[in-house]
Amino acid sequence: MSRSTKNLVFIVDDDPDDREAIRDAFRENKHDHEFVFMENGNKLFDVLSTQFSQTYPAIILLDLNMPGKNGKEILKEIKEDATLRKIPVVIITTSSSEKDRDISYELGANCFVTKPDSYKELLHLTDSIAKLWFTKPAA
Amino acid sequence: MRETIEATKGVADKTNKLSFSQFPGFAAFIKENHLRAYVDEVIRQSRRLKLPLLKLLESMPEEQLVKLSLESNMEFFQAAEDNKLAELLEVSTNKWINDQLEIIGQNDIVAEDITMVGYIRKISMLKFLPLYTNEPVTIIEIIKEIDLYDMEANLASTNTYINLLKDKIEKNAAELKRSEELYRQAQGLAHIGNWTWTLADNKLKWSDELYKIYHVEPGTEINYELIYAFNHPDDANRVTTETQKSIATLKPFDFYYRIILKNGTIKILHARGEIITEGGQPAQIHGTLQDVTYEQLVQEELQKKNEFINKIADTTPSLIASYNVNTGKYTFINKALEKILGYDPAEVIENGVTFFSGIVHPDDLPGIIEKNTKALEEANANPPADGNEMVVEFKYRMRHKNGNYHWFHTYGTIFDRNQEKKVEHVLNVSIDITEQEEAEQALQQKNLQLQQSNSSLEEYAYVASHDLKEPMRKIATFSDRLLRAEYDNLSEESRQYLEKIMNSAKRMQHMANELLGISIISGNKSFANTNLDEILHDVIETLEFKIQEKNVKIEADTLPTVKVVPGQFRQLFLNLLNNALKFTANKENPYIKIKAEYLSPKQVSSYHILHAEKYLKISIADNGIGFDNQFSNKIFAIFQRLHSKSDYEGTGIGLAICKKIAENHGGTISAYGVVNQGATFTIIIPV
Repeated sequence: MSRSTKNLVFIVDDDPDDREAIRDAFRENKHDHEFVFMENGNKLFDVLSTQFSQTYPAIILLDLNMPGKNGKEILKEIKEDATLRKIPVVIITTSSSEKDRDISYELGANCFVTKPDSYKELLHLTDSIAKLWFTKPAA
Repeated sequence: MRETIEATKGVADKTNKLSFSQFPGFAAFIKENHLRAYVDEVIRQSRRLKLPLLKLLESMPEEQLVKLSLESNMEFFQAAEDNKLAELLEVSTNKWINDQLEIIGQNDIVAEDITMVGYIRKISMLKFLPLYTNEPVTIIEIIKEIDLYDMEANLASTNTYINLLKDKIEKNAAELKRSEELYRQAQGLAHIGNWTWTLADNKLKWSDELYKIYHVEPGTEINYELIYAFNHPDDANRVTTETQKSIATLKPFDFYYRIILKNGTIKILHARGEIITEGGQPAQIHGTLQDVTYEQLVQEELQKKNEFINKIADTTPSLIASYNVNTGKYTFINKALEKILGYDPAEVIENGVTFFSGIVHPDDLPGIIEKNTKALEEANANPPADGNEMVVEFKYRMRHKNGNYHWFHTYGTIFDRNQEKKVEHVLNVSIDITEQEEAEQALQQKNLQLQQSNSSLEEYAYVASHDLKEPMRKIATFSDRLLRAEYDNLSEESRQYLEKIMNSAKRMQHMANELLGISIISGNKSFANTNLDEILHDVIETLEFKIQEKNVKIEADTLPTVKVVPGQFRQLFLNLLNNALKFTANKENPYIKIKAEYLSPKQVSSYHILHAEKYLKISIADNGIGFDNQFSNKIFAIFQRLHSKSDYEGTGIGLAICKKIAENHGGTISAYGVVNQGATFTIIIPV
C-alpha cells in the first residue's frame, strides 16, 4: 500500500452534515489528510475499481443506512475482495443495535461506533481513529 | 276306598237273607244237568232283549263267550248250591267297584244292565224249573228265593252303580269347581269380568270380578240404573248411545268409558258385548268389561312422552335426522329442517341421503364422505361392548333453499345395529353454527388486523425513535460546536441556553434509544432454558459498586431454571434492581429482598396471563421511599414518573420495559407501594 504523507480518507455517508462534521473533527485534531466524500456505495466502487493503488484510502468511514447499496453490502463487497479487504473500514452509524454491530464485525468491519451525541465526543473518536490507522506525517 | 267300606256293610244281614232252602237244590240241578243249555238260554235271551252289556262281548268269538259264561254261571250255581250267594254278591260288587271285572270295565255297566241281567237270569232258570220239580210249593218257594236273590243282587248293583255315579259326579263337580276357579282367577288377572243383561226384566248378572272392579259388595243385585250411576258424567251419554245403537242394529259393541267409584277413583273400562236374540228380537246382552285403567295410563304416559320427545325434536333449533346406512333412506327428520334450511322434511325423506349430498358445499363434501366412510368402517369393525357408541363430529356447509350457505356442526352416532352387529341406523344432530362461525371468522380477521396494527405500531415506534435520533444528535452536535467555536463571543446567558439545548437533545436521544428498545422486545421470541439465578447474580455483580456505595443488603431466594428470553430477563432484573437501589438511597439499613415461588392456576386470577399448568412468581421488594399505591398501575406507563427529575434520575421508561418484557413472556408485572415504607414488584410468568 502506498504511503503518501497525506492520508486519504473516504467518508461514505448520505448525510452531508455528518460528512462535514467528521471531516471538521479530524481537521481540528490537526491530522494531515485528504478527505473524499461519497454519498453512496456506487461512488465508492467507482473510485476503488480504477485499481490504482494510489487511490486506495488509508481508511473508509462507512455509514450503514444509505439509499441504494447499504453499508453492510458495501462492507461485504470490500471484505470479500482479496485486495480491497486490507483497507480498514470503520462503521460510523446512528444505529446502536446489537444486531447491526454483530453483523458488521462478522462481515469484517475493523471497528463499529455509534455516531457520538456530542461534538466533543466526535473529536475524541476521530483522534483515536487517526492514531490507530493513519500514518504519521514525516517528521 | 269309601265305596268298599259301604259295600261291605251289612254282609251279615244279606247272608241271613240269602240263606235259602229250595234254591240250592235247584241250582245244583242246573249246574249238574243243564249248565250248557242254561248258558245258551242266557245268551239267547240277552241277544233278544238287547242287553247293553252284550255289545262289549259281541266282538269275542262265540266259543269264548260261551266259555266265559259257563265259568261265571258255574261259579254262581256253585255259590247257590253252597248257600254262599251273599259272599259271591259281595265279591263281585267289590270287583266292580274296584274295577277288577274281567273284560268289562267299571263304567261299561249301565243302569239297564242291572235290571236286565236279573230278569234274564230268572227267565232262563225258570225254563228249567219244570224239569226239576212238579211240586207247586217247591216251585213257589224256588221262585220266591230267586226273586229275593234277584232283589238283593239288584239292590247291591244299584247301590254300587249309584256309588259309582256319585263318585263320578263328585269328581266332575270338583273338576267344574276348579275350572270355575281358574276362570275367576283369569278374570281377576286380566281385570276382566263378564255380564249378562236380560232385557225383559232389566236384570244384570255379574261375574265376581265385576263386583271387584266396581267395588260393589258381592251378591248385590245389579240393574242397569245401578251401574249407570257409576258412569263418568262426560262418558255417560256415550255409553247409553253405544249400547242402544247396538240393541237397535243387533251388532256387537266395543268402546271405552270411565267410571267413578264411590271413593272417587276414576277407572277406565273397555266394554265389549253382543246381542242375543230370541225370535229375531233382542233378548239379552252378553258382554265383558275390562279394567284397562293401568294400561290406559301407561298408554297415556307413553303418548305424553312421545309428544314430549316430538315437541323437543320439533322445537329444537338443531337438525335431527336418522337414516338407514344400508338403504340410504331417512327414517326421521325433524321440522327444524324447514326452519333452518327451508326444505320440507317429507320431501327429503322421499329423496333419501342423496338430497343432503346435493346441498352440502362442494368443497366440504369429499371430506365428509371420507370421514363418514371411515367412521362407519370403524363402527362395523369394533362394535362397543358396553353399548356406548362413538360420536363423530363434522363441520361443513349446507345450502339453504334460498341459496345461502349455512355452517353446521354435526354430531353423528350409531342409532342401532342389526343382528350381525353391523350398523343399521345412524343418528345425526346438526347445529347451525353460521353465526358462531361468522363471529369466529370476524374475530380472526380482527385478530389479524390487531396483529398487523401491533406490528406496524412497533415498526412505527422503531422508525420514529430511530429517525428521531438523527436530528437530536445534530442539535446536540451543532450546539456543542457553536458553543466551542463562539465560546468567547457568547454571553454567559447564551452559553447556558446552549447547554440547555444540548442537555435536552441528549435526553431526548436517550429516550429515543429506550423507545427503540421497547419496540423490539415483543419481536424477540428466542426463548431458551435459562438459569435465572445466574442471571440475577450477574446483574447484582454489575451493580456491585452502587450496592456497596449505598450499603444495600440484598437477600435472594435461589431462582429456578425456566424457558425465557435470557437478555430480556437480564434487562428486567437490571431495571428493577436499579429502580430499587435508586429509591432506597437515603434510607437507613436499606435492603432488597428477592423471592421466588411456583403458583398453581387457581392462585393466578389475572386475565392477562397466558394459561399454563404452572406459574413462576418473582417478587422484588425494597424498603425505600415507596409510592402511593393508587399509582400502582400508572408507574408502568411509558415516560411516567412519580418523582421529579431533579430528585431521581431516569427516563421513566425502565418499568415500561419491564412490563413489556413480562408481557412478551405471557405474564404480568404489578407493583405495590406504601409511601416511605417501600415498594414490591411482582412478576408472574407461565412456565
